[in-house]
Amino acid sequence: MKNISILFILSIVMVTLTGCNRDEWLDIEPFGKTIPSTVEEFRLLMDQRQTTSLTSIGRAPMYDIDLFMTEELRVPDGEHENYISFNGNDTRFFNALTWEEDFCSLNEVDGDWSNLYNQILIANIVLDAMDNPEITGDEGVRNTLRAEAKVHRAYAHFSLVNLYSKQYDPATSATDLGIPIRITKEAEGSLARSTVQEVYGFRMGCRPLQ
Amino acid sequence: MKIKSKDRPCHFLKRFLFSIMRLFIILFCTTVFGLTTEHSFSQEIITIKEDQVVTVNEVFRIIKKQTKYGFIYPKSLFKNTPKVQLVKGDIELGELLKLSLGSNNLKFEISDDKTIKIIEGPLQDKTKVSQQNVEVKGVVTDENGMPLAGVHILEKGTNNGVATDFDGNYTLEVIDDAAILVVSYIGYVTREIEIAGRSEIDISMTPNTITLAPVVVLSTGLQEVSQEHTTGSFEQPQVQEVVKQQISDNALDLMEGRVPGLRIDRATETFTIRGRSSLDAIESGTGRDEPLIVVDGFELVGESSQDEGTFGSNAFNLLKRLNPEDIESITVLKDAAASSIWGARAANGVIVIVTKKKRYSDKPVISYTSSLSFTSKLDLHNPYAGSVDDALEVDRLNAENGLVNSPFPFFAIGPNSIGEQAYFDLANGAITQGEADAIINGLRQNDVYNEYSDYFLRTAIKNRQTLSISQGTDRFSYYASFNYDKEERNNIGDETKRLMGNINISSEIFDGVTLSAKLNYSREKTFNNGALDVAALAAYQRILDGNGNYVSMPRIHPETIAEYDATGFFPYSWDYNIKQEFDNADNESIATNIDVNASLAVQLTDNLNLQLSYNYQDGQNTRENFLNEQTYSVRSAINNSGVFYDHDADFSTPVVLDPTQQYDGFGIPQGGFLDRSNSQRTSSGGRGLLSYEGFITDDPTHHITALLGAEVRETTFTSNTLQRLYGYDDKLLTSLPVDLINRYINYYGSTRTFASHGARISKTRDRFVSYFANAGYTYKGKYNVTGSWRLDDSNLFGSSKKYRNKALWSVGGKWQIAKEDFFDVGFINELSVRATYGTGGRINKDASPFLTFSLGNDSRTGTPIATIDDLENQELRWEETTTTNIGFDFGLFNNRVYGSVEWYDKYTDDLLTTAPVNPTYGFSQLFANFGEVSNRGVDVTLTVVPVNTPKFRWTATTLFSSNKNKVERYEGADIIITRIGGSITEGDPLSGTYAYRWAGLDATTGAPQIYDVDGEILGHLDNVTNVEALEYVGQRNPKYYGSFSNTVRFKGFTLSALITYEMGHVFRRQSVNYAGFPGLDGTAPHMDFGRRWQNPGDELTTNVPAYTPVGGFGSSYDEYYSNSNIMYEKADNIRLTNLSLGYDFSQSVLNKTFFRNLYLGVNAQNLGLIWTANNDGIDPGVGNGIYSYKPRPTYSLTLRATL
Repeated sequence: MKNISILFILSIVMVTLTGCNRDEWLDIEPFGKTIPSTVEEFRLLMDQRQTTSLTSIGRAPMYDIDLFMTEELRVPDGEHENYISFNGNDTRFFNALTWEEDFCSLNEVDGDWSNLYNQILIANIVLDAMDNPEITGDEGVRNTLRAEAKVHRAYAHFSLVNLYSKQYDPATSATDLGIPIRITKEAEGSLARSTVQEVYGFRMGCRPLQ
Repeated sequence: MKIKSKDRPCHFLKRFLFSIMRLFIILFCTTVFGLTTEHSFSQEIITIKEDQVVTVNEVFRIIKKQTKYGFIYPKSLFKNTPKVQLVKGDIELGELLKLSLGSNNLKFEISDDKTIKIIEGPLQDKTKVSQQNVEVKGVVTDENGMPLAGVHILEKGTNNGVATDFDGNYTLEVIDDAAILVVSYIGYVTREIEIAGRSEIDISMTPNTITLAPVVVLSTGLQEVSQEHTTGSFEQPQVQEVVKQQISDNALDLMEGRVPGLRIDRATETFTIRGRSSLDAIESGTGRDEPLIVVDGFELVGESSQDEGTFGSNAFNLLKRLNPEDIESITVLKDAAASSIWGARAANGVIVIVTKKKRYSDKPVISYTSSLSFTSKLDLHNPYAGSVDDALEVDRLNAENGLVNSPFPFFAIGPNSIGEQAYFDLANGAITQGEADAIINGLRQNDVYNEYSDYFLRTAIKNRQTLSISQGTDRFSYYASFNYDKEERNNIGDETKRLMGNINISSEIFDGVTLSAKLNYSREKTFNNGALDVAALAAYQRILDGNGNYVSMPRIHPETIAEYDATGFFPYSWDYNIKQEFDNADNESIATNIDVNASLAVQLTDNLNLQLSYNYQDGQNTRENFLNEQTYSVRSAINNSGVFYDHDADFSTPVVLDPTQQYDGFGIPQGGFLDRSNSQRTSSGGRGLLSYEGFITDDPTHHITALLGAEVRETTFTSNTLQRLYGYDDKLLTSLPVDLINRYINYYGSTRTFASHGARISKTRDRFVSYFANAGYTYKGKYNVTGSWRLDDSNLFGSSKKYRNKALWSVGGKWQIAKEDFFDVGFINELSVRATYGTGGRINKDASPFLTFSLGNDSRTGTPIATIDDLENQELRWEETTTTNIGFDFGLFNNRVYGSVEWYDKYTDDLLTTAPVNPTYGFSQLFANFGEVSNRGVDVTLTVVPVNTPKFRWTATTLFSSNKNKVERYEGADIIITRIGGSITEGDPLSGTYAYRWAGLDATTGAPQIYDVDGEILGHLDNVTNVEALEYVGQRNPKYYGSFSNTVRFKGFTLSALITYEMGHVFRRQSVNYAGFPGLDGTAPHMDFGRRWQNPGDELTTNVPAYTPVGGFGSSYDEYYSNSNIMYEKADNIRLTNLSLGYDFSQSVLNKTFFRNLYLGVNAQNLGLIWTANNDGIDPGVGNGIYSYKPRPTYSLTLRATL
């Protein structure tokens, strides 16, 4: 019955061994994914322009809904239904063309709004990471990224305030409702609309490397 | 006298002590016989874990294992004695010994030191022996006519007796014609039979339901426990009966309507236990609230990492890896006490499948099963689809309303259907009324469904052959099976062939050391050349013309084709024909699957076992689709790769086709395309398990089961899509290179490469470490308490231990009231109450708490870029479900009525889901712990045995489950589209649905109208301003469901019927969808089109809106109608799921053949609705869509033979 004792001891050894190395064994990196730890990786994030990914600095607004309100697109009366159908059966274009009060129904997302705020989020993520000492790398790249992110963020706010608020008027801008200003990457904090003046002020105040 | 004491294995010290004891016992036995019989001894319960035929020695071993008693007996005593047949179940020790020894003229006595002494009884009276002059012989069979081995036949009032052999035969000499035979067998009613001069008496035995009805040995996947010692909610459907009668695709079919609380949704191919408790199942449709499936102690790993731990929508396919014929038992673990030993995967229940391992038999037992199943050909003439006339009417309206165009130079839109073109030409004066009528009337004669059926459909036939051989002795056993399936599905060209081999071996290599191994291999070859898109065909389309030639079904405008053909530039025709595609399809995939188990079980002491086991699963899928030059996709891809566009020209000027302009010829060489992909899945896991079962000290009042173990596992998934081979020749196996890099500008002015390489690779790897323990304590066989604990640890990317670990636990108690001395209610033979509480988890590795990137290259510039995979979410946690379960088990009138009632409350916290978020945060949806869901309900099982005689037995079982599902918390944004589409709304069930409040049709236009929140009528151009305008119409999953099953056995015949029902839910009717009309191209609209509003006044009689060319765009025309409250109907239904009739040939017939058993059966599955709540007879499971066909029954013939 010696074999049995040996087996028993072996099994205990096996169990304890796995216990000892548990953390090491489980600490594996998945394929095709990385937790960014260098400024260079954030450089790559800022370099991408794909519009299909979850979040991308390249998810620029199309300004396509507004296009239907302008003189730049000629849509013959009576044929607009056919034209619009080629644009993906999108109610928003129809509403813009006919100057409805709301372009988007409760079911729809306004692509201009969401894409511009998406750019702001990416800028905020990059700005947050650049202030994080654990993200290592070249200081020059770090400062460049900071500057780029601030430009992107400022320009996105500028676009938003011009799309969704009254034109800047020095007389009334302190009371005209603007758009929410976002300076954090977290999905929390106030979404209250700032005034047009505040948005412009924020934009100016964020010029790169003041 | 030589005495053998079978010592306890594995303890050499004890062995030594025993040697000394043995000496003492010999002395003791020869001098003192002061033995007493203890009352408690006889009443101790021995659990027999499986049906088996064993030697008396083996019986002693079983008793020693489960009690504190040892044995002494002369070694020669059991030489030549018949074996004992043990039936799965519990038996009192005294009874077991009596039955084991009864026929052998032996007696047992028990000493104070817990030693059972077996002694030979008084010698038989020689005078009587000499008088034995009448010989009686015959066969003893069970209620089904199956021979029973080891039945004791005793001449009444004597010790003269025999036991039947394996084939149930006996021969006994008795004194005279007047003798009475006493026939006894465990689990059967003892019979007394007068010989009355007969010399051949076949005896049929009736089961004694007390021992047979409750199934007592349950497998948790990690250990086998007697129900006596459990507290949790276990269900063990009698699958053997189902396997015998029913031809099943997989293990799920065996459980349908037989496990309370389990719901199988055939329409979505998902199954749930006790309701839905996952939010992302709704989002992704992956069915992630499906239970964990464990086969022979190890979980079955899904086809991709998405299925990890749960199942994914391919559960049906996964279970197809097992041949139902190989399944020994299925145990469903429903509450936390039962399932929490599986920890972070057990929140939705666990299904434990044990495959056949051995059968106790000296001789090899060979079984052969052959079955043939038919499913009738699909009739494409669906009552819910409109006629050819309706299709032509749509064509006419589309042409009149400007939805039909002449070739449009700017957009690549499809061609008009024949009908549309005719009406369009007529309107433009291109053809006369007479010409148009001729075309249209010609079309009216056609019926594409008939032609389609002739070419592409057939009766499905499935042929299954299974051959198995098994043998088992005390020390060595094996089970091997070989299975061949051939399935020709309804679509001609769809075919599956599967070979499966399965071997289970177990050998006791030393005393108490058992080595077992399992190997399961399957190889499945599938041809997917059928399943054409019937929905793309015009109702009047011809497929072949009168001469059998392909009829052109253009994919682009005929004028464009004419223009192309005129250039003489293109090597291939632009024609498309569905039959041509079918004739040239060559799609094949091969899936191989290997599942290996090896385990070493060591009996350290009588009660303590060590088990080390290892499991390896490997699955490979390879797919090869060969597209030859005849297929449209190859022809058009090559044609389109020709460069002919003068891109300096203005779009408005006629296109100049000049092959020499930019590129000399074609980017893609002529020849076929070969697409290949493969995927691989491996899983390897090891486990160490220490288990204890027995009594504390020597006191039989305290029984303990305990388990301690650790497990490690790694799974990997790789999928590989290889680069497409161009110019491929399937005879020479050659291919040609293509230019994947350079771009050109095509006819429509967009930039593209000539060919796509399409190669992709993806890989995931997951590791798990788990520790677990459980323990159960039973006091006096009446009071149980159990507890379990498990810690799961896994690689959750970059996480700290805080989020990576999950500890889950359970506690439970049970009181077996009927065993109390004070409990004395004559008709109640079983009554117990149990309660459990505990937690279970659900793994989801889709998200990371940290910001993660994936790196790649820009598709256009090739420069390196990073994209965000997961946004940072430090709060990410694993889901946890807390379950309370309270149950009663009862048995009345000697178990002629038995069943259980269970109440449960499942609360799932930290549910992960992708929920819509205010886009101002920068993203429109987020995957996070957003919700809480509760499931509360009752599961009831009631079995009644109205008739129970040897020849006639009738069993009726009713299952009833209720499930109240509620979203307790949901943090996602509440927007109309989620409420309409399938809502997650706080306070409602997960499958709760809202609808617009219908306000009738507009009296002048026939357009749909709904009520807004304040009762104001909204037209299709108005928007709903408030979610409160919607009305809650009910839930899509049933609130109540269950089954009725009846089995009647009469002589050799068995008739059984399974009826299932679902109540308390709703379904949405389908109707006309005008937004789809421009693309209908002659296909039939919904039948409701014929009932549409056409003239003012129609709104009083119909709710179907008028035809509109604008349908979906710019309005909510279809949206308001199809999602209004008038479209919802009660989905309550009752259906006949299975009907089967079988015949077991009687033993007297079989004795003249070489068969041991022979069974013939017919079976019908899916017989359809018996009753449904809606008036139109719509099957709520499939709905009334144009292409939703009612399920068709499958009829099977089965032959089973055992040699």
